[in-house]
Amino acid sequence: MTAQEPHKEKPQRVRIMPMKRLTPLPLPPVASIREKMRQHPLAVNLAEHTFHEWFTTPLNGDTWSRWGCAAQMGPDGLTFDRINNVSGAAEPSDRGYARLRHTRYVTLHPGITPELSERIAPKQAPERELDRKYLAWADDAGKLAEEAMARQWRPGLTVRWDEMECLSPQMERAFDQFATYLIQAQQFCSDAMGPFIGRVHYQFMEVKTLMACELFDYNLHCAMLRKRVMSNGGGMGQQVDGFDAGVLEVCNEASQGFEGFQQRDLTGMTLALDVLFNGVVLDFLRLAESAHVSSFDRRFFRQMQQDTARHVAWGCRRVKYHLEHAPDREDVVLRLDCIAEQAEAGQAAGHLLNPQVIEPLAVLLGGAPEKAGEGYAILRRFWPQFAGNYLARLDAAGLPRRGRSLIPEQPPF
Amino acid sequence: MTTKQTLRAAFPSAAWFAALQQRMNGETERFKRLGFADSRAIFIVKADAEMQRDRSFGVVFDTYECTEVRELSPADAAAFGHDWKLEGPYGAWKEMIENIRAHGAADADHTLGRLSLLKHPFRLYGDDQMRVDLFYRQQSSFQEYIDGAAAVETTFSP
Amino acid sequence: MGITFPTPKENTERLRRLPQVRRWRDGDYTPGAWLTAPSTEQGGAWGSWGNSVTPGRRGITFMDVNKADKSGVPATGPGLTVDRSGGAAPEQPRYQYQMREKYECWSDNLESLLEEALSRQWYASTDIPWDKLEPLPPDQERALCQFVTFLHVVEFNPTDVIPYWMTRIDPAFSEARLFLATQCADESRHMEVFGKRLFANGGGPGVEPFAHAVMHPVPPHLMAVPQETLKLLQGKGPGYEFLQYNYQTQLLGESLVLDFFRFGEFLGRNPCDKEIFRRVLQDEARHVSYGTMHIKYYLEHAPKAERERALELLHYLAAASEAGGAGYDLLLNPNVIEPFVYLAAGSMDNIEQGWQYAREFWVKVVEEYLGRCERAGFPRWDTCLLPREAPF
Repeated sequence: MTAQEPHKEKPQRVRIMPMKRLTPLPLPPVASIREKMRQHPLAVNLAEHTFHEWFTTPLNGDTWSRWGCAAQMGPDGLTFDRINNVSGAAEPSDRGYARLRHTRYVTLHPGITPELSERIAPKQAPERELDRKYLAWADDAGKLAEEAMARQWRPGLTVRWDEMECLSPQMERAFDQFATYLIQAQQFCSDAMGPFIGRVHYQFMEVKTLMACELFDYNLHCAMLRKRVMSNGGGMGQQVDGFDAGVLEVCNEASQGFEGFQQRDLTGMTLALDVLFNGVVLDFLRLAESAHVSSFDRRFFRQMQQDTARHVAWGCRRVKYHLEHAPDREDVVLRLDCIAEQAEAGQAAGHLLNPQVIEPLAVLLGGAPEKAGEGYAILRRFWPQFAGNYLARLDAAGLPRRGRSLIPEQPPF
Repeated sequence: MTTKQTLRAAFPSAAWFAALQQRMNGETERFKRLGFADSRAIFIVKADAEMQRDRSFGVVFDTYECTEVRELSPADAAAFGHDWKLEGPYGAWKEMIENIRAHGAADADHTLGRLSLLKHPFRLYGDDQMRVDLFYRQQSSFQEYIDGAAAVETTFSP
Repeated sequence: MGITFPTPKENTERLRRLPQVRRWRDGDYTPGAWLTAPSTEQGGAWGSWGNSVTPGRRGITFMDVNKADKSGVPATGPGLTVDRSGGAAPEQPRYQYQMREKYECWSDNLESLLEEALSRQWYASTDIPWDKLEPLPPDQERALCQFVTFLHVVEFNPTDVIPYWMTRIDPAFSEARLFLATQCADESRHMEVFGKRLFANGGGPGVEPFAHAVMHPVPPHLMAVPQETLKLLQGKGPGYEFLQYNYQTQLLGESLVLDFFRFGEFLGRNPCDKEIFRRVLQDEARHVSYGTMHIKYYLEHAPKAERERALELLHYLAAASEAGGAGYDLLLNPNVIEPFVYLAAGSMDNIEQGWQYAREFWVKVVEEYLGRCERAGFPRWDTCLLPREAPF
């Protein structure tokens, strides 16, 4: 395409079902509505001023299941683990129940028979797509969720904007271009993983909580980076294309655009996005922290590393749990290997060797555009860690890919 | 951190609200943990059997501090540009302050939320529901501000 | 997947042939156009340049940043993947985000709400004074836990659906995405904190809060809104336009729940319970504020024909929701109202006083809801189907 040709817009990259508009059905006449509201059985019941089941049910462990069970607060506050220990539901069961939006803390009403329960539950509901433990759970999910919340970046308390330092125009530009990439990367992660939250059954509430934290982290990073970029004499840089290569395709395949009702592949998405993509982002952040940036900017990168490292850890544990508990382990290994190959091939070229990412990073590492060569030397020395860290994570997750990974173990430059 | 200085003021008076201001501004770190608070508030002490005329006090909250306190005449009040007004009879204010003094902070029956929920004895209102909602959005900060009364030796002079 | 991948060796060779890699291997480290490109304003591919903000008492806010940003917030997103104020060369791709008009997601108070949300995040495990929880008389603990069981069950729902709309929003409107992310974090924390409260004082979870509706459904001849309409409204999920969600959840649903939280603060008997409700109501008030002010922005800025359609839709949704599940049914849920009454009364000896409190509460809830509809630009003072007085 030449510069003169009009832009041909493509569908948005992260696939998501189209939005419909509601076609209203006619409502009955207002007088009829009001009359029926007056006769509403609940209104009539309440007008009798008597208390119903919640007040009369015995506190004997049936409907009201855990009377007298109190969790003790510890030095780390009142955590999921402390609650779970007394909840009678410390671990989720292998399959989510038919009532879709109840956590496992709430005992299902015995008056609703399993048959009735199945009859009223939507057969094609988002929460049913990931209602098996092996599809959604991770060991120590509660601890991870607590860590995510306890270590969440509170910018109001920790970012001291008055300590922000001016950089030379060229270094500011390198910083801004690198930050522009980071913002895009965080937005991509948010877009790709966010809609999966609603697909996870409420039985796995710690996982839902953890994913909500992850979503927030990505956006908080965007917010803080945007402020930084737009306030220190520079500005937002040039759009970076291709950094999501391989991973985008895996995520779209895993979600199927969230259309229709089918099993979504949370594990495939986390392998590509959390283990590989965020692993690369984490290493880039480590490099940026050690570059010629101000101590203010260094603290920024350090904080982002903490959050990103959690996302990577979640991804590893998710993959590990799936591999350890899936009934069809051999098929799963084949599928995950295939996903890893696709993501690795795209990431090696589009992310790890993306000139719009590497060039500004090399300038930051070297300390000036004319010293970019020194930056490349650091990148060369660092490169084995990209591959090494990723492979070590896959080992830990139980998906060893040594000798097969498409992330080169030595720098290709 | 609590202020060591003994604060004394008569209620109702601008000096009393200023004493709460002084305490708030001396504890910025604590208020930082609660988040920004940005409101132009009018606290109204309504006349009752013990007090003859209404008194209004404009208080401005900005970020983590209270930046302005002054008594408002009816004309001043109209021009103050309030987000919300919290109004209660003198007797209810007195009971709340004594309660805060006795417990170190409002007890369950004397929080601003409790006292204003059903529009009595206190009433929370304003011209724009969205600006009234600011009170709900930042309520912890305003409760902390009022709980500052625990550190103010208050004399009541209606 | 049917794709053949190269071997590691082949892949490395492929990578070594990439133009930039060949250049680097040849020792040519000249940075690309990003280092010297003029800004968009000057016709170049770099985004913006020369933005400076002096930190104020609250650091650097989005209000400061947007004031300093000469490019402003466009009415239509350009379809770039880069954040607003970023640039792109003409040959770089553009994308059709499903929500690319500013009026589809913006509100006039968006930046300040976002700042407030960022500054008022909290952590349920340690920011709540759990150690100040005091034993309650058994029936009060039972009532509180029943109320909290309901809140625990419903609170996470927005986090299930909001991310779909976030993904659809053009990055030019990043503040809208960011604010919605804070809401997801808030709602998740609410489910967590209420779950923890259930077990913190020996009460435990109560009766499944919607069991009564399953076991004793309203007979068809008494349904104020026909079943088909209710089903249609229940399809308000992420497959539908954001405006619909904003009315049903952000304005109506969150507004009622905000009042439940306020009542919770009113009913709390110790500093721990008070603090829980104070924290969650602060969060909820932000969500309501966004929902209300977003609808207002939509009605003020959409093209005329769209505005007229939206107004008609809002009144339709309001009528159906007020009379149905999201409005009237919610306010009549016995597993919410009855515990309220008991907690407000304190004991059975004083129970009529509790009902009186609940009736006063009802009046205030409906009044505030109507105040918000008016503020949003579709006043319903004369048409609202929720009774102004409690029907009990």
